[in-house]
Parts: sequence; C-alpha cells; structure tokens
Amino acid sequence: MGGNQGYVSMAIAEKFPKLKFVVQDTAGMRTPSTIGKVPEHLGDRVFLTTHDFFTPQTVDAQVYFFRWIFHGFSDKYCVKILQALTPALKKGARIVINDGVLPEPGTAGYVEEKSMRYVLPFILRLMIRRRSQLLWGNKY
Amino acid sequence: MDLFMQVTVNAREREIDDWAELFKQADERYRFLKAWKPEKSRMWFIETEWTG
Repeated sequence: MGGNQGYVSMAIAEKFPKLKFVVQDTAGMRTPSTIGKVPEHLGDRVFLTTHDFFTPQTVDAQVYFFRWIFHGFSDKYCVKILQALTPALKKGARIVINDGVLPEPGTAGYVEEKSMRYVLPFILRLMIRRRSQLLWGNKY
Repeated sequence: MDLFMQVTVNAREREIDDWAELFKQADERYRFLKAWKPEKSRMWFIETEWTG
C-alpha cells in the first residue's frame, strides 16, 4: 500500500518465490511517464496497480503491508487509512506496518535515542519540505 | 521534536502503545499482535490481525 514502484515487493518476491504482490499507489505514480517496470521474471507475481489508500480497499489479500507510510500522517488520517481497509478484510488477515517506533526512554543507546527523537524527524522534515517544493513549483 | 513534527506536518513519532491504540481507535475488530525490530534495523514491524 503506497508502495511506489514496488521495489520493496520485488526484493521480497526475489526471496520468497511463492508470494504474490499487488503494489498500490495513487494515479500520479501510474502515468506512462511515472510508472516503473517490473522485471520480466517477476511479471507474474508483482503487479503495479492504482489505488488511493484513503478510499475503500477492494483487493482481498492475506497481508496488507505499509512501509514508511504512517509516520507522515497524524492519528486522524492513520485511522482513516485503517478504516478504508476494513471492507476488504477477511478474518485472520494481517496488517503489517514497517515504520519507525520511538524507543521507550532509556531503552535505546544514547545516540540512537537522540537520532530517533531529534535527527531523523529533522531529516524527514527536510524531505517533506522538498516534496512541497517539487509539488508547488519552487515557490518557496 | 514532537512539537517540531506537530507544527510542520501535524504527525509524530509513535511508541508501541500508541500504535496499538491507533488500531483500536480505527476499529475494535483489529487485534494488535506485536511490534518487533530486526537486529541492526532501525525500522520496526508492527503486526495486527483482523478478527472480524
């Protein structure tokens, strides 16, 4: 979900030959000029499709995987994403989120805790700002 | 830092309990399973099951 051109799915597909992947991202990532290419040997197991994760999910899957998605949204929107999934979910389906978790104070090393709490978010902020610049045509 | 992210993108870092709460808030039929971090990885896996 929000899987861009599927490079993570492809990497997992290489390791696990029995798994199939439906990679969803918004229409802007799926135009002729933006869509990526799945290598031929993965062509029958990795599919790049269009879906906005704020709209009701229609694909029936065993696992719904979100990598590096939720950290960019407030609780309100994370809840919306999770609620949009429910129409498609079958009992026992798994939701797997791969993202940053803030270590409990004192449990991580000094450097890791400092970087998680201060440095990484700062870089993220720069990246988000950069995305804004691209989107808004460098008006800043 | 939380304040920083709050004012810039209105998002924040989450602790494990926050993730569990997030699912609960979305739908009671989500059951939080576990959160774990592979050795050497900076990113975590958060796993939840649909019980509906």
